[in-house]
Amino acid sequence: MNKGRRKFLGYLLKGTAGSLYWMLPLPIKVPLQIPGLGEEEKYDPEAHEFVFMVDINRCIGCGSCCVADKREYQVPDGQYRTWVERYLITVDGEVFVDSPKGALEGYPEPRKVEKPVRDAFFVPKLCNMCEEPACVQVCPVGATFKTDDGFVLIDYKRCIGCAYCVQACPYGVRYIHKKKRTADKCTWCYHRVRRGLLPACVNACPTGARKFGDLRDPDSEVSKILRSSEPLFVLKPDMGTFPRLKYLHLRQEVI
Amino acid sequence: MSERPNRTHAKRIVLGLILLIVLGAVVRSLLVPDDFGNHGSLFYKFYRKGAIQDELSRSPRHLTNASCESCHPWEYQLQSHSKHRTLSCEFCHGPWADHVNAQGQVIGALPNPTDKQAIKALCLRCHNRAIRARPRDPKVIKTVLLPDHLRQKHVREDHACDQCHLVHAPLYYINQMKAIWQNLLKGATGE
Repeated sequence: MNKGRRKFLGYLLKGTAGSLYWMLPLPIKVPLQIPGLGEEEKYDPEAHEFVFMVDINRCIGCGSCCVADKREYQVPDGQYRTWVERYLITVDGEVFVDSPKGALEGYPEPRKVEKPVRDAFFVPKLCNMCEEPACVQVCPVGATFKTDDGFVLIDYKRCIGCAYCVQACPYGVRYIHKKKRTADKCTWCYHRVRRGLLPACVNACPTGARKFGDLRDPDSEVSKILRSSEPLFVLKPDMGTFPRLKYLHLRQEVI
Repeated sequence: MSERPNRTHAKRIVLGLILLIVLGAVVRSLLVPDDFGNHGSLFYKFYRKGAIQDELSRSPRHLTNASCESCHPWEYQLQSHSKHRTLSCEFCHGPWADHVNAQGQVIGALPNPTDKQAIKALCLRCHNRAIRARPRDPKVIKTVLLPDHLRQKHVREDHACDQCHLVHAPLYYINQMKAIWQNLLKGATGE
């Protein structure tokens, strides 16, 4: 009976492998955070286009996002899917960057800089979900790929841990997971998004510095920002990777 | 002169190559899963289709604040009407999955930080003015400089934040106190 059902489900998945998936279960019923997701019976990845936005002017460097991320994925100590960097720029243009423990404990100590500081801000970093990802191009076994809705994911069963992608990523978001011995990186919480929940870091952000949404939905916050006059930037545009992660009010000193 | 040249070595090479190709094809068909291939485009969508299902089989460890409401309505009401409404419950108390299982049964107690040092560390993550780089424009958060704030309010310097501020609704006691004080003043001037 059980075996038959499993077989049936397998056929079902293989049959619908084109583009449609069934609704995903959640442990309990909660009001969903992304409109139009998680409630529909079938999911069409071609009909969604997700973007992530980070507002530099709103980030207070509390590290809630990093804590939520570490707990959501049980990331080993010393490795980070997402982290927050602190930038201090002095009046004569010298840049000081630090990120103690990837801001897991926030920023308990102020950084001492002798010269007067012109500008100071926090920059959260996570996977850029490039349109043309370098990490996918270099993978020798096809273990990393782009989905139709724009996520770059890793197939942990195929990955051989050669770390070629770790070198290829211009943003340094990939690492070799200590326990799994495969490549790992931020997935923008693909399993949460498909269930209609926001990514764990966006859910935890107290100031709304991290925003996530569907561009195809004209009422979502991200598509409103994209249509407004807010200054949007991406990291390392010269690399030709066309990131989906956009930064609001990014300074030119940030790399 | 009409003796045919000996081509055994060439034949061996060709045979070996054919054997290698056949062996390679067999090994590849055994090792590569059926659903591995192009799904969309050649460059970025060459993968195993089941990998998406594998990623989706992860179940969320964090839920939303609304998921805490059914069992903790008092704290939820306090928090959702206060300045701390944007905070995630799970940030201070730990992830939902450590507390309740998928059947809705309580499986463990979440940490409830109450000692002075823990409370102070949690509050100062956001509210420490000594950390530069906290945005002032737009005004995102109210920050304090710690010993100065305590001195200003005329309390002892070893006070913890939660002795004046209710952690779920930071201005709850303070607003109550202000209202009482207003009523007292009104009563004093009215008589």
